[in-house]
Amino acid sequence: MAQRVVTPYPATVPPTVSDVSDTALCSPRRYMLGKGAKRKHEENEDELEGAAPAPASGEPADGPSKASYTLQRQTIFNMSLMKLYSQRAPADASLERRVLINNMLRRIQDELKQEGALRPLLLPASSPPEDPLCPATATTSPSDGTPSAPLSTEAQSKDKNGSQRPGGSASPAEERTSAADPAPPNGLDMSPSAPPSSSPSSSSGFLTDLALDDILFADIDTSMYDFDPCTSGAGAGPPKVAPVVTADDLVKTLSPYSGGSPSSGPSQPFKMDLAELDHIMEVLVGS
Amino acid sequence: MAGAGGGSNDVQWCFSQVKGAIDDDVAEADIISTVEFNHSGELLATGDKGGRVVIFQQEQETKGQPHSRGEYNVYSTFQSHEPEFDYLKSLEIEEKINKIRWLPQKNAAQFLLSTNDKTIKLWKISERDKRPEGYNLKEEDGRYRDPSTVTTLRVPVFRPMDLMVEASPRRVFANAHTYHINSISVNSDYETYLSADDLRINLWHLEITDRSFNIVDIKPANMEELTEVITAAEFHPNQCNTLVYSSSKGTIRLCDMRAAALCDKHSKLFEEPEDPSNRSFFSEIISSISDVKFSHNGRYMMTRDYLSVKIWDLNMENRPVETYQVHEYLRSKLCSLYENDCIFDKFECCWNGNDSVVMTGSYNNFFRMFERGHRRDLTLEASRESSKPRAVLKPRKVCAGGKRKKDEISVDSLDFNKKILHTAWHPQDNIIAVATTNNLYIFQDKMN
Repeated sequence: MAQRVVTPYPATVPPTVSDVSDTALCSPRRYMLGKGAKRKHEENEDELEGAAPAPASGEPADGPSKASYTLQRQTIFNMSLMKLYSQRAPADASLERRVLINNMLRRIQDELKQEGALRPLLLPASSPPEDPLCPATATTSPSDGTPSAPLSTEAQSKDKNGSQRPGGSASPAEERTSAADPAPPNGLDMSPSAPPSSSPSSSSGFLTDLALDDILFADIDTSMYDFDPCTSGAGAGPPKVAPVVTADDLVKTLSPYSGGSPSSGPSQPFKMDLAELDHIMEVLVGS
Repeated sequence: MAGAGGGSNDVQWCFSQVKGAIDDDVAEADIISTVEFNHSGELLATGDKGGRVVIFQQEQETKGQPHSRGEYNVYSTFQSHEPEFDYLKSLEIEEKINKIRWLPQKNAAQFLLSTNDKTIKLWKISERDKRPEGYNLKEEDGRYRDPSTVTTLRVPVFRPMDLMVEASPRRVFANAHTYHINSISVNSDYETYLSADDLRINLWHLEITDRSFNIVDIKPANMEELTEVITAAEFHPNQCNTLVYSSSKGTIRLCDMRAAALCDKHSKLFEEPEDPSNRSFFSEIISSISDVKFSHNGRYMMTRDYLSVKIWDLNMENRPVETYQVHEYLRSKLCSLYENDCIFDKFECCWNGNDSVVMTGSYNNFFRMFERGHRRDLTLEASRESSKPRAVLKPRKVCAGGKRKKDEISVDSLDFNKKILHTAWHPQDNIIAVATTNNLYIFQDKMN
């Protein structure tokens, strides 16, 4: 735990009115969030620290605030995934910590599901037709060709047992290779991001219990197997290679959001959300 | 002598002693993991990450130094727990001492319970200041004398010797916890005690090690549904049937063991509704209760969550009677604190002898005291810089934003590696023990 918290996004400081004078007076010190910068106090500069999240009932009405909320949520989501799956010393295996992080992931997941329920018409099919393991997935033809390009590469990576990252959407969870558990192929049914009404299996969620919780909460603590590269095959549980996630990955993750193409409609960020989760799901459940 | 009731602003806290290595290079095994005074305050026990227990004893006050209370000097050191390996689960069991609880003294010896993640041990600490001398058949070094040289009969006599303090394990309470033990608490009947892990609470008899009763079990049938864990538990100081346990969701449940053998159904549920204006992604995490302590009189209990200390009246479940902000300036930093895991730090809290002041730790080696009646609070620092004998500690202040005054410290320059998680208050006097990472500071009030 370093005193300086490195954040890969633009360095932020909670906006203060008198920032200017303070930076002159303070001796050079390490700050929590990178160097303070001279900025005006702006209403919408709610970066990660300052953003008050939307109340449960709805989303913020204005665009920039919602974008920063979504950004914050996505960042926390990624962080949480990293915390659960990155290689850590066994001493850190505090059940309370894992439960709290898992609750965080679930909450974000539920929020996204709710948002999904609000926009049924704008959802692309993220399980491509050529995937033999997801016959039940409803496919709706995408309105334009753009979304399907990254999706088809996702399909390829689904079948491969590798950690290749498709060109477009990068995600910290992508580097996980093998299955999170010995789930039967129907585990992959949970990947579709089709509207909940048309695909009953999506009600089990993106990051489902099977993937996440078996690892976290089994009495036999299988998370230890994560750290042992030489687990014996017989009954030792699924070997997992811990992902190596760097700050760069986070940046790449975030760039689809912060650098959203101007031509994309309001549905585009949301589509990327689903594609993102979809891909994470695939990697977690296993190719 | 100022009673323990002196207000924190009337009391001037002075440095008394510091224990532990001076150098900044902290050996992992020396990290202090628990601090506890015994019931008289004469003994102060610390446990560390290396599984050792060090007990300090207060010197008797000498007539020659009426202005200071006795110093605490090392009385006994012993290895309480060793690292173990669970072969079935391929897991190492840490030897770190999670908690120490003293038993009330019944005879010349002292007894304490110490626990790591899995095993509780009852230790007897006794003094030996005499030894038998003058054996008939043995030399002084223990070798047997040649029988032909024995011509007289004599009986050994006890003669004084240098004081020797021995610690011996009298009971080992093992194999009762699947998850990590976070609390132990001795019952007021002085016969039983509880041990709590993440999902279960067990009741033991101090004399019986091969059996314990499970009294609380919150493990769901399907572990996938697990969303809440037990974080702390304690017996009521006077009512031997009452216990409380806190959870990671910010609730406290009071259970009455007379109601049923299994206390899964609480008698009272203490929970404060969330303040909607403070809602964030981290609301649940910061509401997780890291410590719960009954007041000495048994009418109140105190809980510590990440940002605040709350005092509850046992008769009122829907909200605390008092709330004290420990370091509210961290509320805007929660995302960073989540990233570096500081948000999961488990701070403890303690009452003073007459329940008028409460104390808890913070970052940057700061610790905070809240004076209940007068609604005053104080921030002090445990550091080598303010470690001159009997030097009065200067109150500290953290500047949350805006203009930083002289002597204030800005939030961004706080050292989050220097955290005070464990503090203890002498049961009668204004003497406090504050543990930084590997040092134990003892402060006392300035006696005039």
